Amino acid sequence: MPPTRPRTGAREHLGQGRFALDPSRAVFINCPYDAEYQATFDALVFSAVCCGFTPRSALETRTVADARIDRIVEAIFASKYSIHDLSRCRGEGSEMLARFNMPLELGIAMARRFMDRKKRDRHDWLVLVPEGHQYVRFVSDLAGFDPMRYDGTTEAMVPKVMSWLATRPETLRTPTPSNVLAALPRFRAEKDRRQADWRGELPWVDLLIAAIEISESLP
Amino acid sequence: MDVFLSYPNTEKPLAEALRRKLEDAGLGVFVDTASLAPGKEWQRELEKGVESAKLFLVLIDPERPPSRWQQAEWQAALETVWKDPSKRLVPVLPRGAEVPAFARSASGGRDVRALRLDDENDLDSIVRAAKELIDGPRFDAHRERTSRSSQSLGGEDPDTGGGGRMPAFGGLGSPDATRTSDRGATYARRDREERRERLAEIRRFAEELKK
Repeated sequence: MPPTRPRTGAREHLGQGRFALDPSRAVFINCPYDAEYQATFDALVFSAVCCGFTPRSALETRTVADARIDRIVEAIFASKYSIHDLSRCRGEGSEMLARFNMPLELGIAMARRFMDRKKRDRHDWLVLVPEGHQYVRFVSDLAGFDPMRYDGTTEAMVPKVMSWLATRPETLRTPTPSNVLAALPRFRAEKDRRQADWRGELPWVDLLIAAIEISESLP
Repeated sequence: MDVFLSYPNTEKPLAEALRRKLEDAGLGVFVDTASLAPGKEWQRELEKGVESAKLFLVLIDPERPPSRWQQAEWQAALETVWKDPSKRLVPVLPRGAEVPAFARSASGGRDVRALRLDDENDLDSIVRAAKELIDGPRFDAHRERTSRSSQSLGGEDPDTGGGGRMPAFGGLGSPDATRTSDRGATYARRDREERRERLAEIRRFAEELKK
């Protein structure tokens, strides 16, 4: 097979070309985006920034015309790390339908790790499940990749995520989870303020900037 | 359990020697999560080990990155120390190893401590330091104070003014208090700079998204 040549005139995507970001400092966030999960989502994004990692998400380029799955694959492949919360992979609503977006994105991250198998810098992920969650059983089949259990609260999730990020090789000296949890209300207030400016459609950029500004004040 | 000893496989002989010394001194030691029986739920076992420990001694390999097992141990230890600041996480640094970032994160950069291990003669000093850290007033009164055996690198603790105390145990660089303080201040300065740079990097990425 001939070597792949760059496509002439191909549009640059985030994580490529001038948008290049060091993948070893990027973490893809795979979680629900609805109102029920909002508090946990905010805490995930804020914790990642406080630990010095750039959060990536399917939300960051939501106005781009590319297929959503393409954007997700690109963001995962441009991130050395990913965090997957499988807590909402259960039957919901009158038809008891389960959301498969999260397991699908975990599968993409696993494929990326598999493709990296000869590299020193392999993709690495954290899987979060609530205490007693049935997925503990099947995900624990992945020896060495056991999911982290938490009780579904932000207070329990933040230390899990921070301890994982704080023990990756590219980490910085982080604040403590107490510092981060104490600053979370300020982050949420700043996010809400910006959200109101955007009439509820807060761009990912503004979410990141809010997280940076609040985290700058942490010890 | 008094001490949770985390070590890389590459430092196993040193870790074994340290474990024996700690046990000879009457300290209970939890060691080697990786050797847990197959089929045992390792995460639960690890949690039990870290919950009961009063002190985490983390042996660092200066030449190689940590294994997944060691990362899992660090992670569990970090969470435990964050939850209960009366417990201490102290890196043991052979062959000029640096204090890793996660160990400085254990206290949010405050009152960072480390133990140097250049040869087997240092093992006795480490055991003395471990006993003092466990038996010291810090564990009774939940105060960040007064172990004289471990090396305080100072850091950003307003109580210590960023300066280290004279260590009874010869630690990093020199047992000279001024140089110890310098080392702590260097870490604190480097941490602040790295943090500023990293946040600037995230901001640059965000600005690119805007365009």
